[in-house]
Amino acid sequence: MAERAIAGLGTLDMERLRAGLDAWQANAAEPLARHEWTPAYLRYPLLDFRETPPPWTAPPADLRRARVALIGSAGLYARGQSSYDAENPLGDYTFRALPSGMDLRETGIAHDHFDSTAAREDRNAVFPLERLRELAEAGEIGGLTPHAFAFMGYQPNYVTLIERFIPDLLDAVMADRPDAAMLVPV
Amino acid sequence: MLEARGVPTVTLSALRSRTLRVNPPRSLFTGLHNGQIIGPPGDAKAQRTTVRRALGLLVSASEPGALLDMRAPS
Repeated sequence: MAERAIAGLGTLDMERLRAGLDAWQANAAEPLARHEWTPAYLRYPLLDFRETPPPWTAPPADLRRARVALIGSAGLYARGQSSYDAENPLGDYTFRALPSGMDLRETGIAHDHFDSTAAREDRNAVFPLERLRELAEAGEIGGLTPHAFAFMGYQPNYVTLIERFIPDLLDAVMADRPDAAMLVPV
Repeated sequence: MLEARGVPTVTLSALRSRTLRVNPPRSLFTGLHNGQIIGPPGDAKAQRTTVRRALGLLVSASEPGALLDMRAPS
């Protein structure tokens, strides 16, 4: 047994989870390599937190003074930043910090696992940075953190997510001293 | 996990069953396709409504696991 408490996720047996993923990956290697997602994910060992009490932090007393961080999984990256490995059937476990004041037209999208047609026309459909900026200008929120954060949310290895990706991402988010965060998965 | 570091969060949701399995502290189910989870492209008004509803849930939810269906009357 290698159970350990993960802040916000309860107690998890990471070795058991790792073994389950390894077994799935070995069995699904061929359809994964062919990008045949339905057969590849037939036996994917989904995590289930329905019986785990969610963590809870009290909201800011006044949104008009709160600095909000936007975090989205639509695979945005800024011009000059590297793209994501969107074609990798085992996922990409990196994130990008985007200046919150940036022009969203200066971003690209690399994500092969959702229909990005709308997002390519208007990034706000999945990453509402301009809408949040408008609310900040109107005084409805205190502002945005210096950066918004993006990643490509095809990441089947949740052990890597839990042990490395999320802690690294959250370290970067916390350095921006948010009072609240909006999470936008696709 | 961000919440466990002392930052309150609100999560948008396009797929209710997946969100229930993840069980975030606060979620807003938009009823929209995940490719336009905030609102249709070019429709700033609809997008603003979604963002406002999410922020409203952030401050109004009273217990962990709150899930608001945006299609329900407010």
